[in-house]
Amino acid sequence: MKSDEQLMAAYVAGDVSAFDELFRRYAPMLLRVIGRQMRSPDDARDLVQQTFLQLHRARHDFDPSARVRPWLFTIALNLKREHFRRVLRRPEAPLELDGRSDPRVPPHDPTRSEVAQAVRSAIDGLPPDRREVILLHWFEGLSFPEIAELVGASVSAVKVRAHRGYVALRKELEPPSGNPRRPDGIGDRS
Amino acid sequence: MNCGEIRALLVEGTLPTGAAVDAHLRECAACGELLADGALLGRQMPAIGPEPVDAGVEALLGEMHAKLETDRGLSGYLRARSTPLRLVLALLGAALLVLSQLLFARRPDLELYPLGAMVSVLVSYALLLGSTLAVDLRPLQRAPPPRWLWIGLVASALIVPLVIAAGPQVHTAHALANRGAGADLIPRALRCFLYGGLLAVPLLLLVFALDRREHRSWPSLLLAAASGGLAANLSLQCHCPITHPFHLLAGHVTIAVALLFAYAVIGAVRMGRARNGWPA
Repeated sequence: MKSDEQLMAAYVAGDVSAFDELFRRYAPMLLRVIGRQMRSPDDARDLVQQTFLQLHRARHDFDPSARVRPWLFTIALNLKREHFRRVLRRPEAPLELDGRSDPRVPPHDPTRSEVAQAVRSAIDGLPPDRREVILLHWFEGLSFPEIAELVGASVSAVKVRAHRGYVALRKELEPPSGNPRRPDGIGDRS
Repeated sequence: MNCGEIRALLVEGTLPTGAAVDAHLRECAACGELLADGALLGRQMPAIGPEPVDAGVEALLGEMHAKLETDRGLSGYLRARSTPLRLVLALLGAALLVLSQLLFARRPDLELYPLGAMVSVLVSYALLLGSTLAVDLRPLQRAPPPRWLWIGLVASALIVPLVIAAGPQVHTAHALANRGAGADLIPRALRCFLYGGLLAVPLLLLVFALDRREHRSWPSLLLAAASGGLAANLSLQCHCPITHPFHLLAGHVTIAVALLFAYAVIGAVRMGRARNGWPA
């Protein structure tokens, strides 16, 4: 299997199938990462298309000694930030829940739906840099060195953002004192 | 044990325990938060399940190909050039404007104009124009310019011509130097305003063709307008023999003001449409 960098070099040389392969590799991941922060799936799809359009237009800017993944993700994250500045009244304003239940939670599980909504709301309330790191760390399962490369920060900075993000989430999701909530599924740690 | 393994256990509903977990928690404060307080957070995060696999990637790729098909022609070619080459092309475009005036419409008082003053004005405009174009054509894989930078450049595109125009009159040696004052002010100023504005149009079109963005942001719109204003003033500096401050203020400086206003209106309309979900 060709590496991302080999595919990029092939595309710069004119091989269109290399672009298709890069698209198939990264479009699903970008759709997930961007989609969690967008109002609608159509906005996420539009941003993913713009990302690859920029990859196409900027292909002669690509440094053959660099890695494709962080380059591509930087473009996607910059486009996402520009989108929020253009569409929303404040940059990266947290999206308001519209009251619909989370479509990914089984409809017969209202408790889980409430928890999902609370978690989503808490994540949306995070500052953008911490939200990005949490999304990549928890939902995409990337390691801190990988996240650091994607967002263009040091590993220690990314770890600090993740820690502070999780601290904020835990505070936000703490039940009122004297009423511990015990979601299903996990045994006691004893 | 690593973060991914701890996460996998939490997602399947198992509370991570053991020496390997403890060793990881000693190094990873983030996972420590997930498992703190009886794994309060770690129990709740899995409530947001995995995203459904998007079966529409092939359809999206098809739409992508259609988009790439429309990205051809001269603008497609220009946008795909490397960033250094795009900048050189934009600067060449500005240089051609200046050259066209020096060759075919040179100011008749050029020999009388103090050399030091002429060089400083041209160099100031050229440096500012080069900086504005460099920031405007910045590629998207680089961090966007800080706010102070693009606002400073746009403000300078207004302030520098204003300072040059409002300063002491450089010379009155030529018969035409004081034209454009008094009753002649408006007709002469309008003539230079329109002439300079028309001179800026090719550069504005070139910058538009070189810009890779699909949706222009405020900084890129205003930087493009500032470039046009600077190019117009630079060209008029090589063409117009009138040195009277009133004429320079009314006929030269106003070009940048008008362009910035026009681009601001365009930007406001487009962003209003974007916020309402209408096509840009």
